[in-house]
Amino acid sequence: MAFIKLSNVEVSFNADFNKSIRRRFFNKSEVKKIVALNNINLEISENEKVGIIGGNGSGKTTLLKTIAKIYEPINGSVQVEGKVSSLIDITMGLDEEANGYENIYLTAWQNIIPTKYIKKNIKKIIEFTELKNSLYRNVKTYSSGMKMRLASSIFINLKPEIFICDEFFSVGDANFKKKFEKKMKDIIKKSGIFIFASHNIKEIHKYCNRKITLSKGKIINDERI
Amino acid sequence: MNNLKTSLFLQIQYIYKFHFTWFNPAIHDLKIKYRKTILGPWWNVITNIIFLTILSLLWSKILNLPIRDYIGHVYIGLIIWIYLNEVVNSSLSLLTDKYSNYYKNSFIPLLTLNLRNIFLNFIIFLHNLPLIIIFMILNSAEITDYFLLFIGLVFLFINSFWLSIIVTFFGTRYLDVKALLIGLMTLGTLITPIMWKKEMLGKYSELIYLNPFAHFIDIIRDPVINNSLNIYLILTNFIFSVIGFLIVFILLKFKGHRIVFWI
Repeated sequence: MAFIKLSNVEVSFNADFNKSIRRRFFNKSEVKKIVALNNINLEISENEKVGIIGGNGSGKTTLLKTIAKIYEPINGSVQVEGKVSSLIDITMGLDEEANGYENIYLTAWQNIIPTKYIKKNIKKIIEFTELKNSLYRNVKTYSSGMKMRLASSIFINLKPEIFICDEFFSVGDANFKKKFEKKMKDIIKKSGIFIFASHNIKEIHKYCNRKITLSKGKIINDERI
Repeated sequence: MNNLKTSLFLQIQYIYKFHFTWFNPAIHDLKIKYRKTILGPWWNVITNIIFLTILSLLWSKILNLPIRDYIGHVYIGLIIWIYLNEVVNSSLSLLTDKYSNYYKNSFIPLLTLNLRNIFLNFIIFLHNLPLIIIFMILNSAEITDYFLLFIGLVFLFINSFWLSIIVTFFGTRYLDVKALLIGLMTLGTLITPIMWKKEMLGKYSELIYLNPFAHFIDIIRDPVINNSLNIYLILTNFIFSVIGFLIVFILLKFKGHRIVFWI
């Protein structure tokens, strides 16, 4: 059973992070601390599809990264039960010098998806990308839309226990987007917990059954929808 | 895996369990790196041989040494030095450049990226192995020497692994470290016995072992060139491995969770 519990979580970092040895040790000046998440208490249980909404800098991505264990809080605790698949930056780790086909494998390995899974699903993935012959071209020649198509297609057959996404429904053109959304609905349905950060309230209402509103690193509203 | 970022043991467990997250990408990186070349990593071997031949001819005259002894000494020293230099240089900007976006956006242990990086460099280094074996055959090496060579290679890999992690750690935290280490590695080329022999220092010859790189080089060079290996070198390499990973353990324990904020 997938389960997430955050207790009194605080995530903060320095506003003017100092990478100079001289300034760090010999010329110490007061460093402004940014509190990205402030005293967050949150429980998410199996079958909950949670939408996180808030303005820029409200802490949406930080909250996702904290749940995905990319960020560790300086205070409080994060308890996550279940295998997390996080798509925070979908095109991360693409190798521009390699072709699309090679990048399918590379992206999979980097996302802890074994070769066996890709080999089993390669036909479906290639078909889903609709990149056809472009798949054998170097990714550096791709448009950003093509890169999104390629990277997103790898995840179409996943069955994650906890699925975390950050604003990634804007992939490709209208046709591809429609197809992708259909597939995503299927993945979301199969996932134990789905957490999705967005500015778009319509998308949150479309995919989620719970909405959390963040402002200045604090939860200001948490409701069923 | 709750403390993955701060636990060396969990990270080692992770790289064993999910070996495809570093092994396969390293092979991919190698393929891409040399895709547009005819001979691939063998170019490194060819350039090393050309460089070495010229260097040996010249320096054996300057130092008044028989070329047959000198050529193997320089070759082994040089290829290990090139490998270590490449490990240090690539590790410095591993998180600030190559894998910056990847590390910032995924739950990946630091050791995976370092292992991917050194494994790629080690495969390139191993392309020199046929020539090393030729040197050993010419020196009438015995079966124990081949075994000692294997031990030496294992220690080189282990020592370059912790070295790479520490360099990445400080290279990411402090920009000054990059400039400092590049300078130190240039100095290292001169103070490490690559082109000269320790015997030339006379009564000070053992002082070269204050330089850790001399240990990493001699553990391989001794069985290949001298058909012998001082047991002391196995011990010191083992001690370096333990100390190196102890430092990694401490760095990860206390600062492993902050690395992502330094990028």
